[in-house]
Amino acid sequence: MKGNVRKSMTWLHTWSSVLVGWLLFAIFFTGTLSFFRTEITYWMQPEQHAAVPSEKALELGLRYLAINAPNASEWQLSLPDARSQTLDLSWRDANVGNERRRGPRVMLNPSTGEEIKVRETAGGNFLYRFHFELYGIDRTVGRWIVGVVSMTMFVAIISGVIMHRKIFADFFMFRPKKKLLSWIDGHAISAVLALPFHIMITFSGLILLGATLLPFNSEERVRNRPQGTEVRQNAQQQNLASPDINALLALPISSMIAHAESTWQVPVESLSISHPGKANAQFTLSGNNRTQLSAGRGGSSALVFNAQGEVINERPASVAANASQATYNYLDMLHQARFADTLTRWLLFFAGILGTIMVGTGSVLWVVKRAKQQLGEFSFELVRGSNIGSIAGLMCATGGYFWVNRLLPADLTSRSLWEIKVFFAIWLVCVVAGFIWRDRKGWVIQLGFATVLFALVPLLDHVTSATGLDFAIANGDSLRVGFDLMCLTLAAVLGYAAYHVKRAKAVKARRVNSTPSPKRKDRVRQDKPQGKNSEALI
Amino acid sequence: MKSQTVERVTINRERLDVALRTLIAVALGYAFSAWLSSAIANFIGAEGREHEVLVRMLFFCVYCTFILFTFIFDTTKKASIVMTALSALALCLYSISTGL
Repeated sequence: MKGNVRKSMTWLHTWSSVLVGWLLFAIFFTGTLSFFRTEITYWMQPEQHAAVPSEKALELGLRYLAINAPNASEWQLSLPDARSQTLDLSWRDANVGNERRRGPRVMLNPSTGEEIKVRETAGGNFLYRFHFELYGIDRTVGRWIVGVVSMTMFVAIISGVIMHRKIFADFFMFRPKKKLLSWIDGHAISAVLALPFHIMITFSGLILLGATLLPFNSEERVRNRPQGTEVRQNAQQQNLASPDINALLALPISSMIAHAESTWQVPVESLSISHPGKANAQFTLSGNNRTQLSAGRGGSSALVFNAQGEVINERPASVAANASQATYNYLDMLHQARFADTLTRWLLFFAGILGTIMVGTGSVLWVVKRAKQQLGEFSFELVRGSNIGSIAGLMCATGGYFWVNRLLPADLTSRSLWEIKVFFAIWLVCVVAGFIWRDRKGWVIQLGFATVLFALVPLLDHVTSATGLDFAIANGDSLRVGFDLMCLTLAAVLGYAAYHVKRAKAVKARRVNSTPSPKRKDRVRQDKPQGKNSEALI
Repeated sequence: MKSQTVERVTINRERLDVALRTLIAVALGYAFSAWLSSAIANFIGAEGREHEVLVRMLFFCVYCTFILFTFIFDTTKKASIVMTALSALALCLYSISTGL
């Protein structure tokens, strides 16, 4: 810390990062996957794969509800969209009190109307929840830990920016096959390329955890929700006349949808019908028609029609009450990508991957820089071993998580719990193996294992799903095909990394005494390697 | 032998320095950020939900700046004096903002 500001910041950047690097890597990786948690859950429930979006979806949904929920006070239909292939129905039973916020829910095949019974899975939600409250510990404790790690990350990002002499020059510089310098460049590029994203995602993550991290500031919120004191009435006693299916289908619902879509210029995503089958029925149509991120979660407007197909009300989108709330909403929406279409979601995903690479390369860089000098010391070996288990091990655990989802019997009791248990068991084995084989061998084994797991995911999908991949391709199932392609891409990246690490030994023999060119001396001085051949020791 | 002892003392002193700075940055920084962000929100006149989100956003910016500054000073003594003085000032501002 003695010295100039840049030196102090370098010290702070290094040590703040290395202390939380492993957990941060897991948080960043699972958080990045959470951008596609719906798609991951879809893949992990292969029963859904037979569903093909159809124009008959609405009609089939109404028929199902008229037969199965005739006495409901409200029906809700979520139509297939870019993130869902199925028709999701739910209803609120008029004869049952509001003990539950959500009523019964079913999933239908939108082309056949058949009910889809999906397997129990932790799916993408496990990865999503893990990234902000971890697993197996008290939620509040988990959020505190993630909060502390995020704050450390925030400090590391800002100090990383300050310590850089030539941040824009680094943006365009990558020197492959230069041992330590390649690691430094990789770390700098992944950091600078998506720097605004890194700052945004860390800061917004912190303010989203604000309720936990700043207990002095939490507003007391009195929830006046009904406590389930309503007296349950026997459904048989209240058996009202069932809605006439033909009368229901004769209603101008298609013209309502056409009207809403022409007004918003976006597809209608859900339809809610209150008092279905009655003269006073109301149809509320909503879609992703938000125009302002600052409006927050209630930023989409809705149109309400009567049974004659006339607009009787337009529920406007909510507006942020003040600038603070608008800024908060903006960050909330960005962090959770609630607004994002497919392209934006992919962009956010790749920015997240860059963040994951930044954290991973940073942790490896720490080891590479100190390899020669500290080899054999407890702290050095601890970091070296932990790096393997936390980076390559997490890849193995994630790949294993997808595999076990398909290999466990579909009707197994507590199935989702078993998936999670296997995820952590694989990760634990990898951490232990990382400590046993702390050198190149450890990396090659675990990266190679992860490569195999991910590379075979499409085959596993083809064999274990109710419909083969040919069916998915023929029906344009981009969710499933996209997932499999992403696994193949990840396998290619991990395979390349394994190959590169294995091959680095040969490089060692050839280039032991390579010296940097005079032009780059300043960079070398700044990030002076403490071993001539340090890369060989990662 | 003597040089080894000197080296060990130096290392221990450095470790103590780091521990002290970390304590200042984490604990005092938390208090400072809480007081300052609450004071600013109070001076602005924010109430209810607006107060809550404003404090949340200010807090983490202030906290990060505080931590960075704690590690910039060349001696721990200087860091602790300046940061304690700043925290006292933030407490005063907070007290004034709440009308105490």
